[in-house]
Amino acid sequence: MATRKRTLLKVIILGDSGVGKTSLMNQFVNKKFSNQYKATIGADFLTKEVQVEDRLVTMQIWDTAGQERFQSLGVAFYRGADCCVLVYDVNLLKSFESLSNWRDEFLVQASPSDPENFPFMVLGNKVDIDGGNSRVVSEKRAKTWCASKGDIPYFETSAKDDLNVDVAFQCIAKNALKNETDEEIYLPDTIDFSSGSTHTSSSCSC
Amino acid sequence: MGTGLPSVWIQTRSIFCLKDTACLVCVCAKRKGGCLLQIHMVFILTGMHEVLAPLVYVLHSDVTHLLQVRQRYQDPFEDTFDTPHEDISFSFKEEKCNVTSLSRSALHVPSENALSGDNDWVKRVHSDDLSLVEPDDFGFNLKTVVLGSDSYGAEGELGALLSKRFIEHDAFCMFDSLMRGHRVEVVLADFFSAVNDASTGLSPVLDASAGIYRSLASVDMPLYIHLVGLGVEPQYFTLRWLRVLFGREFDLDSLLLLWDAIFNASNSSKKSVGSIGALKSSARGLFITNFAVSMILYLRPTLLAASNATTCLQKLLNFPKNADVRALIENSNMLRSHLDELSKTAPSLGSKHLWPSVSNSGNSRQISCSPSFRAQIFSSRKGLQQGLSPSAETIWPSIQESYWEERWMNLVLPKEQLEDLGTPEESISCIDSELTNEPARLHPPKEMLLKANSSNLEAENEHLIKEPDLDVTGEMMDHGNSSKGRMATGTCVNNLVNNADRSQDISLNKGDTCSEKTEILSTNPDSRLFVSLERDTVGTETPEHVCIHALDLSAGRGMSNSSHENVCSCSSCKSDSSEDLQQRGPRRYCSDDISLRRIKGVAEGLQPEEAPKMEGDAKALKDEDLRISLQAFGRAMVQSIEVLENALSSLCADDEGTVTLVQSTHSTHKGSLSTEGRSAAIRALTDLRKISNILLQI
Repeated sequence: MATRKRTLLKVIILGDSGVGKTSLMNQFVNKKFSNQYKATIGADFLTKEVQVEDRLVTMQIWDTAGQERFQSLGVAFYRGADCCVLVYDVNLLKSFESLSNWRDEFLVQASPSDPENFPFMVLGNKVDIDGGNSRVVSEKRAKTWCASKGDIPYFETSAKDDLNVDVAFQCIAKNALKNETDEEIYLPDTIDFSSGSTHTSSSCSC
Repeated sequence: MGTGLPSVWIQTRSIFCLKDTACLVCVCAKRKGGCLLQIHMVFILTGMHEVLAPLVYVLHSDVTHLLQVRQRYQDPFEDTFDTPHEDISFSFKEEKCNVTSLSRSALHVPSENALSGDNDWVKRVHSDDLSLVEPDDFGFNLKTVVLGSDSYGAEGELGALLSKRFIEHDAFCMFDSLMRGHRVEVVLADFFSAVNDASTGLSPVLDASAGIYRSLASVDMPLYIHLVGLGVEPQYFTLRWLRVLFGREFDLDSLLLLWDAIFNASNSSKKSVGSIGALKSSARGLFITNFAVSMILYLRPTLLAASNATTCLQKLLNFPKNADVRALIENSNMLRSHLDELSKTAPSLGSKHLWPSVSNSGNSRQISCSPSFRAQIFSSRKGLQQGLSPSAETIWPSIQESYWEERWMNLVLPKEQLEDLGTPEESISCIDSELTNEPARLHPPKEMLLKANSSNLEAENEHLIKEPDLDVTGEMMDHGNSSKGRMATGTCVNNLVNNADRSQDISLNKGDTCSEKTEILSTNPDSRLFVSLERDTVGTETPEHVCIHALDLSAGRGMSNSSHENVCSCSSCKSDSSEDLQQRGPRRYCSDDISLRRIKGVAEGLQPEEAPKMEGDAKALKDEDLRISLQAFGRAMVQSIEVLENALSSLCADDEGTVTLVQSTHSTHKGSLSTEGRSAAIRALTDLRKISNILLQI
């Protein structure tokens, strides 16, 4: 039976509305950016194949609505996550302050087996705006917060200018995979019909 | 709350960049006071503006259109109370005044011109407005427009309906009633709330999503099982569908059509049988559910072809924008009548159709019930399979009548046909006679039965071989000539199906005790109906075809591309219209061929072992085996005969010397079918001969 290591990584992006979750995902997957704001309703996802070291993994990136309450998508949605990306807007203090809430609520909903070591990632988005003059959350402050929550990796990104987006998602994939290999999950990738199945084409001679 | 307004206003502007929409809501909030701020806040939080935008658009375009009309036909809009000669305003108010004269006065046509014919004043109508002008009620729409904009109010405040000044007010009222309507069932704001319902433990939107899957389960169990098995939970995609009322899935024109249908359905609550979930309890909710189901069914082939949840969700979350929304609406209406039928004909079964699985725990991964459900539905079919156990696995695909197309048609078609042709007394007597005949067939000893069947077969075989042209032509003429007779046959046959279906349902409830009878009822009338309906539909377009076309169009369209293509089952063939015969003929023959071979194979397998024993004691078990295999033979024969008939009828049509009537009815068959048809006919004939040989050997 043909088996290979599971290669689908489920990544969930969380954060306040308007911080640029969809834009980050679109920039990473489609290399596109739009200035127009279109609220995400419920959740949407894109997939992208990423090379991590010697392995090819498919990232299933779930973009959630910033206003979405956790209950609406059901428990199963969060349980299958391999990595959680927390996004905030460096120009908006409130979006940074609510990171704690997002993280805590995610841990409650997803209830991972090892909450302490579950791979998170924090992205400070929109660093391009006004040449950085309008930012209210300093990099130092963000890094301090990340360190206090168990050394969460932190990147400053701009979906508009495609700054650090690839690097960040590459890191996300790597961390998710690292977490994943600890569990040693093997899943059948293809089902071999040739060996076990009977000949169903015809049961009679005519 | 009162102090929140300015900040809200700023936030709205900065977040949405939709000045007009945001402005509108703020105005409404100001006017109505603090109580509305909550709606306002929710609006800002979730993007309900996508629901509001189409409303504003419609209102705005109405007013714009009115302005255009106003500019083109200024006279009727002017106050002409003071002009003694042309009493236009008053003429509008005269209710009994006929439409034509109204229109003419509305267009300010001199009376002498009116006598010279309609052409003159038609020319005066602007080319853009010709769509407003219907030949039978010329200018009626225009009149409505004029009346609606009368500043004095032709009928009280009606005049204010189309006023530029009130777009915002109207939009707000519509939006408000849609979002949090008063004493209604479907309240859009609920879909945004996370408050769990006390009884189900689910938030309204989850509850509604679960309801959509329940409906799906009742019409298309295989697809439901497939989706649930892959872990595709409904809320992943229905959340968006429901919250903005499908606004993200269709372009504006299609969306407005859909909304017309949605708002056309009553939103007042009704206590219907088995109503579960937030969407189930009003006509509108039901429509929304059914529409969502028909959207899922539209994607059926690709969904079934998908081997993982990711692909399924990709399809569902990116619904094709070019989907024909009319067909989807049509489909959801048919779904509704189907579900109604289910609850009417077999209430106890109906409750089983409404699956408890999703609502119980909020987790839709409860497939454990599915096998029993499936077994119940198809117990009679399974019995048949077990009877033919050597190739039970290969049999399964050919009798997948579980598929929604089949059941749906069975349930919907008879109803429609009855409505159209409605001759209750006649049809009832038909059923009675047929039903009493059916069991009687069973009672004769098996050998007699065998002989009867084989002799029948021989007779038919010879008949077909020796005088095929005569036979078929005669039949066609019969059917062509007596349309009334044909209709009666149709009704009768449909009633039979209905009845067979019902009895099947009943037997499902009672258990296996009745299954024998059900089998007889369902298979025998089926096979007969097959033939007669096939003849029935040749060359005529009845309402039933229209409905099938719609079905094909929306949901079944992708079927032929699908990797999960059904082996064409009896009843999907029986209602093909004449145009479809050409396309489906060969494919159907293939399926028939397969089943025929299989059945023969089974029979040959049975032959050495079973036949000697059967000569000895007539035991009940063997009796059943024999009966089952005989039934299988019967159906195979009917299928072969059907193929022959199709082929022969097309041959007849090709032949120039045949009766003109036949030509007219079968002109569509000319062409490509002839060669295929001939070879198919030859194959069917040899198959029939083989069957008769087998039967003789027994």
